[in-house]
Amino acid sequence: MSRTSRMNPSFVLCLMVLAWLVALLTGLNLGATPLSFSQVLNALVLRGTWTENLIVLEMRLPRLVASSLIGASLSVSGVMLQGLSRNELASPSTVGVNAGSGLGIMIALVFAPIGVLQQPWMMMLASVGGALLLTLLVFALSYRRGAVLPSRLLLIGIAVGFGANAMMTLLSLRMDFVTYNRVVSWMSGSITGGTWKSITSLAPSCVVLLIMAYSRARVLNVFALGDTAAKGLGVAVEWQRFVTLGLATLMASVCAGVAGQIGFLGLAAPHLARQIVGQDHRVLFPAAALSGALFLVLADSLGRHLFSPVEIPAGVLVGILGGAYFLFLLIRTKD
Amino acid sequence: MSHLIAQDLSLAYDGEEVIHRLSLDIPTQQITALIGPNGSGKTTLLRGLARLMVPTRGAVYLDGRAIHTQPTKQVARKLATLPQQGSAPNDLTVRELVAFGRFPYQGILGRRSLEDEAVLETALADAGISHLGDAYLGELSGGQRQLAWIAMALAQSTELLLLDEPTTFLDMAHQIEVLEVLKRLNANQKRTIVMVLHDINQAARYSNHMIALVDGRVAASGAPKSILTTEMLARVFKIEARVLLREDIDAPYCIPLRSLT
Repeated sequence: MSRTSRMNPSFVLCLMVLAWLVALLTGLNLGATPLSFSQVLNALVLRGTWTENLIVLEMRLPRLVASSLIGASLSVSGVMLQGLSRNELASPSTVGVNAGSGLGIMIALVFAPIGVLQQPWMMMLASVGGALLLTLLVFALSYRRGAVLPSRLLLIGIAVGFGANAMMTLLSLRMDFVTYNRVVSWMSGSITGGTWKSITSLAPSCVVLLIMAYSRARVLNVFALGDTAAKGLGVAVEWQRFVTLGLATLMASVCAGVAGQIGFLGLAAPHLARQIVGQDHRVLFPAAALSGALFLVLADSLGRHLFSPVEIPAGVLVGILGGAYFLFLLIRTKD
Repeated sequence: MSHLIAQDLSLAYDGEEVIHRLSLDIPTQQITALIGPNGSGKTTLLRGLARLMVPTRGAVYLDGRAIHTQPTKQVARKLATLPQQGSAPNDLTVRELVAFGRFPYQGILGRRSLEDEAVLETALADAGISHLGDAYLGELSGGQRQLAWIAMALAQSTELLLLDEPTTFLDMAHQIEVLEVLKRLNANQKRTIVMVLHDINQAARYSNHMIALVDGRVAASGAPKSILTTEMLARVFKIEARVLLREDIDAPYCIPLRSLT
């Protein structure tokens, strides 16, 4: 693959920020209640009617902010998983991270007393806990002869993920109808939980994790040279792989605690970013964060708009959009 | 002056011991060639010396301290190693690959200092590939790619250079080119070089010191002229051979006659 036509990275990143801002404004415009562009702008500076202000500032804006945070985190999580396994098909949904948070949430829904379930932090805790435990299991099973081979890590992640999914099916069989409905809506991935309240807990963790992820950029670049070369250059390969995997798991599961399973994003958004800026993680991380944010903002806004007042969950639309994008790539690269 | 020795070193894969209680001393500022038949443990030993494997017994000492107890990044400033076949993304330029050699010297964000830039250009020049700095790895021939990897190892600015079969997969012209580069580095910059070589004659010609391995033990070691004998070739490589002395370069060379197995 050549990259003769690649543009200056900071210019490309600026363009992506611009695209994301346009998507945000469009998203503010779309929804069940038709609002004109000037009404939206007025509401943004608190000059609209009470209803307009409410719709724009309390309903639409927090969802867009949450979408951006979640999209960025899921995409960066995908980049990290791909980097540490040297495989561009790795993503939170393929290595068992999503299955882990799903299982954690399901166990909480079935076994936790209703009083605890109503706590806002409960879903987050169940999601993060489940994902971390499952990832630890995957890492422990992959550890062999003092090393964790990336291919082994992926395969074991897939296997353990399937195991977790089977347990989720088993659990869903003994659920009552109400709980089951909650599970299904969670599985389809939706940003309906995107309120200012949930953002106050989501935003700090996402921002801290994104910064920590960025500090791994150079190490992930060296990973691309293979384990032997990376070790020779003074990278503690196993430890760095462990840390990166932990960070990626945290990022994906924190988001899953709010938005459920948005599976395809961690695969499609990083891929899009790679196409645009290449493989240098110092540029790829911000680009992937932006492409993820853009992707999810678009998916959620379209989901709210297309068949309003009926809402299509963002996870479903991401699947459709991402799938279409991949098919387009496959068809285009025939040779 | 960095000094590398192994003491009572055992290395194993999956519980199967490949190197058995081996001790050796790498002569500083010289070129050492590791030779031996397939499966004798040359590559394993090199990996052990480069701290890429944890010993099951004994230790490798770099400047008097066990190499495994030293921070790996600090070791990378004293010792560079080259894998048998490096894999790098094809859309990396040579200069970008070589810049990875500065990794052990950089902080989290990896800003390249002026010194880094200077070292980088020198490394390219020493490997004889200054003109290829902006070429993509995917466009290079096997020999050029090998030189790019060597330049990366040079950019680590280490006194010790450990290479695993640097000439395998190359045609003859490129083999000689790589070996000449290494020889120059040793002569001009006093780098200590350890390399695994398959070709005994190349080893004899380009090294000052040879270590022959059989079944994970040192079977012979010393200057090429003293150890390249018919007796050693029979014992180590199981071949009957004639050994001649090339007077033009004062190095021995062997002509294999038949297998003794």
